Amino acid sequence: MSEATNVPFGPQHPVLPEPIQLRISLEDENVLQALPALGYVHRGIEKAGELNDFQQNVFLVERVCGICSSIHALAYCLAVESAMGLEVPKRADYLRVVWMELHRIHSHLLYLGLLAEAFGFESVFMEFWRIRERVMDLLEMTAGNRVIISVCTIGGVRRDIDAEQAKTIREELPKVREEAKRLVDTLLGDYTVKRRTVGKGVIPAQAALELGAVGPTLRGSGVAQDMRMAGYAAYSELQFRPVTFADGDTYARTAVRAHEVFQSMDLVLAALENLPEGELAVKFKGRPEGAALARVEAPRGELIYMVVGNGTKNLERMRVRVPTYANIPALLSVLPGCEFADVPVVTLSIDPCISCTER
Amino acid sequence: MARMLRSVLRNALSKPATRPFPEAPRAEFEKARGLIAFDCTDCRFCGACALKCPTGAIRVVRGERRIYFEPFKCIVCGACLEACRFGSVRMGPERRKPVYEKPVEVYAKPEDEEPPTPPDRGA
Amino acid sequence: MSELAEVQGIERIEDAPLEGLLEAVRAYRDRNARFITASCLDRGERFEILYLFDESLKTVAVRTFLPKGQKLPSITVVYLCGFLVENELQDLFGIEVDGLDIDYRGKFLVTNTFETPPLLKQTACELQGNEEVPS
Repeated sequence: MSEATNVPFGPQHPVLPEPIQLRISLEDENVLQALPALGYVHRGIEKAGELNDFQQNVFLVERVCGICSSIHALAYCLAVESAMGLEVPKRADYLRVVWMELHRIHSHLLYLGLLAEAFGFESVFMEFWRIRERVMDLLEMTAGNRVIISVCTIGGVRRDIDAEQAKTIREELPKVREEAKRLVDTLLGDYTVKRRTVGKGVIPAQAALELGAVGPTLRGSGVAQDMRMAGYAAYSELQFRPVTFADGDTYARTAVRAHEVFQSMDLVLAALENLPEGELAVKFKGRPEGAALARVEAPRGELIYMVVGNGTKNLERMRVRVPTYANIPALLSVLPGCEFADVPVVTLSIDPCISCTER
Repeated sequence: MARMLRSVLRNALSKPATRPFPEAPRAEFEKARGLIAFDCTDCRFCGACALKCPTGAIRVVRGERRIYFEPFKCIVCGACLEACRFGSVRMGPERRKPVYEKPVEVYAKPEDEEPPTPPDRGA
Repeated sequence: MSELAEVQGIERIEDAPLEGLLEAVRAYRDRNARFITASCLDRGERFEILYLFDESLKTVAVRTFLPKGQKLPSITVVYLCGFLVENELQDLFGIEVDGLDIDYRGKFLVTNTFETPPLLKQTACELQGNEEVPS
């Protein structure tokens, strides 16, 4: 056996939006071993969560992630609400679904664009991001910001969607859907794309479960597990079936996300259709005393917040487990045996979000 | 081939998807979160906004009857807006422009003799 | 408060002594539960560590208490994916994990910029902003 070559992949690499280093040992063009080196963007948010007021933490946790930010806020609010025994109004539940699903759409469109870019399909990348911009506009129209929308608060939501805005969303989403359909068909049906993704980085279902993979990575391996099935917010009242593909390769994970874009659009429209009247938020008094755990489905997978209150305005502990954290072991398990040229695409296929991972 | 030709024609004839940014900025949405400003006419300097601010961008000094606001610490979350019982915090849709310095804005009641420093909105 | 009585959202918490931790975790592995994460709390004299598992959308937990200064047995022999969170425990709580598969030796997330591990209660951090409002 010839001597292995060590290649540092990252922390700065064209396919990596955020800094992570994979130390890759190569024999010829084949990966022998990959080890991650993290710690480039650790910000100590768990500690900050103990020092801040528990109500101000809502704004803090939104800044854990730059893409799925409001889902972090939702998970935190759900955890605090369940620790305090608060009942959220029905309308707030439905509005949360609308915003979270819009977030999922824009996050998945971002992923699809980045994936296209990872193997050099620049024009599809631009097209995906162009239609993503229209979803961002919907978010800005309803919530006031593009990404960090700060709509969730403990006890409900802070903004309302009025009839006119709902009408705009109802008109805009079918148009976005049509364009997205055209692009997704191009991306998933293209010969070149298939050559770069089919059979690359295969995670079998059993291995995915053992390695603790979550979200589209797990569903791409044929395991129908989606935290939305647990029915937080208003998901229990909306028609919903998780998207799964059985192959477990990069193509399957991409297809899961592509189909979830359309599913999320259905969910947004259904939630707007059934939007009940009522209060936006409940008033509450007191401070969290018990402990609670909330699990929600972020675009990248299952997101977990655990809060432990101690009766003061500061929390005893705020634990954040983000989806990428759970997907890294699965990624490391599939990289050995890959060709080096496939490493960027396979790495991207778990949709890594490193700021989340290191918090 | 026909499909390709259609795409080529459509792309050749349609307007660009981007806009020439510095010359033609996009119109702001009505509910966009933009500039925070204080209107001290009804303000009682209770400090509720400063207490709720997650970044500590607001400092209320009751003795001086002044609000010191650091706009570049502000994350435009709107917590002060919700905390204020007197309607003294305003939020407009337009975004803050890039500037060279990070001045602290000082707000006071209009009847207070010393005029507040004019908030620098940038060039 | 020295230990969690119950956690909303966790179906059941099973207590395991430190030496029986691996058996308890292995029992979950045999039942095909998915390992979610471990979560640690600084309880003064000891650490309270929860290992969370997913059993068809329900969350279950194994809890163990680790007196400060003792070593924690690594669960990577059962769940390989535990190495990330155990390295994090080493970094942020200063817990020494025994038999860790991929060991970053306390330099996984943070480097040695802290005198004490950052998530211990004794590590004071200065919060910027939010000064007391003069009345």
